[in-house]
Amino acid sequence: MAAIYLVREYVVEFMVCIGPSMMPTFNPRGDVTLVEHVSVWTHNIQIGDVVLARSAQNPRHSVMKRVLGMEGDMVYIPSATKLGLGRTVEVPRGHVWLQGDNFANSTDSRHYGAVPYALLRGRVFLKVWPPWEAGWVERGLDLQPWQADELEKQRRQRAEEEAEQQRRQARLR
Amino acid sequence: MRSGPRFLWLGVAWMINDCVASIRAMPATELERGSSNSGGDGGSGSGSGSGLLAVLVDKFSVRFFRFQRGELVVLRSPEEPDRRLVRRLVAVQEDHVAVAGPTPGSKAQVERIPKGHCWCEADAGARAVGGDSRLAWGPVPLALIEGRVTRVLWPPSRWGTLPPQPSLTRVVGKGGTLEFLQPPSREQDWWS
Repeated sequence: MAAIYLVREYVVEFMVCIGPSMMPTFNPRGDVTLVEHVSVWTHNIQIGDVVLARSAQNPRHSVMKRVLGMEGDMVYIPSATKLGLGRTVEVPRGHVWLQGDNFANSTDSRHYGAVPYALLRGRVFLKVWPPWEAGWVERGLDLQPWQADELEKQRRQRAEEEAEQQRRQARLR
Repeated sequence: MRSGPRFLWLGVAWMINDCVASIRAMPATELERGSSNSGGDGGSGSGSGSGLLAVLVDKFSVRFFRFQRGELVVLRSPEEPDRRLVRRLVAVQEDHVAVAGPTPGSKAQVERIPKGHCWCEADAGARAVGGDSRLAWGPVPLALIEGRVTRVLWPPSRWGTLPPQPSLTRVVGKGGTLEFLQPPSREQDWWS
């Protein structure tokens, strides 16, 4: 029993992912996935990994999200109403920024802010259940084309803003 | 199991250490209240208790979220994931706390604890290593709490339980409950 416990808690575990927030990657009806805990306790989590974390809003629940920023990163949040520019947030020390792949229907760090790294439980690395979709869960941003466009647009916008700021500073000097 | 290898027992011990109870050493200074720092930091408490205390940490009841305001809890630091700290649980979700400003005498600010979070403070105030909710973190997720400090085991002169105690920060509205932590009675939006 102890062996089972230790393996489940520290090595690898089955997990069912229910809910619409990871929609393109996982089905909302529930996919069976394998979660490994090793890369959390060896601090090997990187941007783009799908992770299992304890929910910051309800400690009974766990959530599955993608890591979009580690500590010290700047994360850009588009404004919810598409009016205005959105805001850029720095991820504080020891925290990570989690977001669901389904940007439109996901309660995540945009809602409750960055989440302490200590809440992470494991990295989702393999999808087991519907067998026709089984395969490795890849690191990286698995985006719909329109989402990629959006991100690209945001990136360009941010670059422009930065250039503008630099020009302003140069003028001040 | 009778003649099982020794590492099996190691595994069992580890599991008990994780799920039931464990013994933890903590500096005695963390238990001492900075009596002179009312509201602000920079207190100069009597530094009499030097050395380590061995305390018993109850991890079982935390799994069912049985803790109260005013108890000492062991939590993982939100800033350094590998570090465990002993802090006093001041308020739980939906409570309002009156947070004193950085300088003594400044007006207290009322802050609401968001859903699923709590307010943890060090008894030692600013002298405590690792920060607390008042000085650095703000509200922290309840899921960070790993155990409840129940009694002091060593030194024998301080043997005894640790009853809940009030803290420097005043809890203004105790509107919060931990009822949401009981098993859900109906289908909830549990992917949120």
